Amino acid sequence: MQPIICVEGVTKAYNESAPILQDVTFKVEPGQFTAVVGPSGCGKTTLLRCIASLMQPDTGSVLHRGQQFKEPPSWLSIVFQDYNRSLFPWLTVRKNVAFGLRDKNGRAERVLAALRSVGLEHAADLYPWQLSGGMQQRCALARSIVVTPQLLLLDEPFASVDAQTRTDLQDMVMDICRRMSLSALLVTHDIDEAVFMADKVVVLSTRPARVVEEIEINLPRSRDQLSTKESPEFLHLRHRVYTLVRQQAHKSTIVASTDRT
Amino acid sequence: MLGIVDPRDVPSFAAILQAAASGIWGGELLFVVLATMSTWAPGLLIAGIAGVVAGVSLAMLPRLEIATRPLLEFLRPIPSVAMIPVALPILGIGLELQLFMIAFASIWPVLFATKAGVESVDPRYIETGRMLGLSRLMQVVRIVLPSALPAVATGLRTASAIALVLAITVEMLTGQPGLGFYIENVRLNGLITEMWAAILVTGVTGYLVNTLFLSIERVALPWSPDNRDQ
Ligand SMILES: Nc1ncnc2c1ncn2[C@@H]1O[C@H](COP(=O)(O)OP(=O)(O)OP(=O)(O)O)[C@@H](O)[C@H]1O
Ligand SMILES: [Mg+2]
Repeated sequence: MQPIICVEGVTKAYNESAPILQDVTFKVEPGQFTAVVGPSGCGKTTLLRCIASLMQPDTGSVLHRGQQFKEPPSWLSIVFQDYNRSLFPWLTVRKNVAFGLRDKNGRAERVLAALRSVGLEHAADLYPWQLSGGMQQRCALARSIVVTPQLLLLDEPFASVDAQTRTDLQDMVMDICRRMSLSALLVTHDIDEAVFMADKVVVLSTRPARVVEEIEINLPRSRDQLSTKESPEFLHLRHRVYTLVRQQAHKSTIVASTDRT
Repeated sequence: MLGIVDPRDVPSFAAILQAAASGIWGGELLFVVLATMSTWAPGLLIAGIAGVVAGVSLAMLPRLEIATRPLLEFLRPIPSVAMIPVALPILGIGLELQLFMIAFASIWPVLFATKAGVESVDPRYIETGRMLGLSRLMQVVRIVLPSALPAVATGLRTASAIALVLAITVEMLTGQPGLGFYIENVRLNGLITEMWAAILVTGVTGYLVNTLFLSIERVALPWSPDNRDQ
């Protein structure tokens, strides 16, 4: 089967500035969970916006099963980095989730099902600003899965919640992707999270971001916060990814110190 | 200095209250207030509708904004009362003139608050709408307008106070029935207590109008950052 997403030689610059993305190439296979790790500010969000067709790359292309697309497609959903800016404060949780559903048929049931799968059915009539950060992010997650997409883009969705909520959300997302047979592309700077959740980790360089390496994570599925993270395979993979990312960070400090002289 | 005000000209507060109360219950004052409100309300409505339409258009159409900017910057600082000599020959003394004056003065806070509200829509909201497949028109209707509502409401509340000032001023100047004319009239007839009672009622009316607008905001926009603390 053709890849869900094929990123081919994507280069992108804002205005006339130096490029943010430089010849980025990788694939997301159907049913796979792919994680992209890269240092803070390297262009991860920019990459997701290119993939979602919210902006067009300067060169290169993004293909879905071999086809190009120009507008944000309906088979793709995104959960943004800052959840408190993507939920509409004038709508209740229920209406936020229903926002993207066109046909009235079975709408209430679909919304309720989505809310159940993120454990928010009891908060359906609250406003987003009455929820905790973790609950807001679950609401954003419900809104993105209610449209039954094929691919879920996740932009550091757990970055601003506490550690316990974070691991709960990781389990929840993996469970939802498995049950809905969703492909996922997670962007994060948390290496543990990337290795724990993904089938493949794509390591990006510092700016301009290129793909440094792709690492297959062949840990058995149905991963467990305790036993998986203690297994020697996990620790070994984590070590590899960590080393690659640290090399990148090291390079950027060298660049920074030569800049100063 | 102090000798200029004859104490006999300043009625006691109790007397003013008494006159205000009897004026409202069974007296002339109630009808006077209603007369003022009956030009205030349509004048404010005109300003509200025109201000929102103009504010949204200017925020959404940068070319229109650039083209009309000199005109707006010219009109805005003109005190509306200074427009009377221009408007009077065209509109004559009557309701048209009153509505024009009220709307001309109170359109500005609505227009500029609406424009600012639309311009400050979080681009992330728009992206969310695009991701969910909303057309341009639907992005405006379902995202831009709702998110600008708190700003529009604040603009309307400011406008409601200005509209009241203008309604009364124009009554004073043109002798149309209402609080302004009433105050002038009792003053000229030396009815000092009635004058103070009418001024008190004017103040209370202004306060009630503001409170009314705040309550409507609280009920209609419970999500607005100003109303969230329940
Ligand atoms: N709209 C924009 N216009 C100009 N420059 C931008 C814009 N958005 C992002 N940038 C710049 O592009 C670079 C990459 O931004 P991006 O948000 O893609 O990085 P990121 O990896 O997602 O960062 P973070 O880890 O903080 O989320 C940053 O240096 C940023 O300043
Ligand atoms: Mg980012």
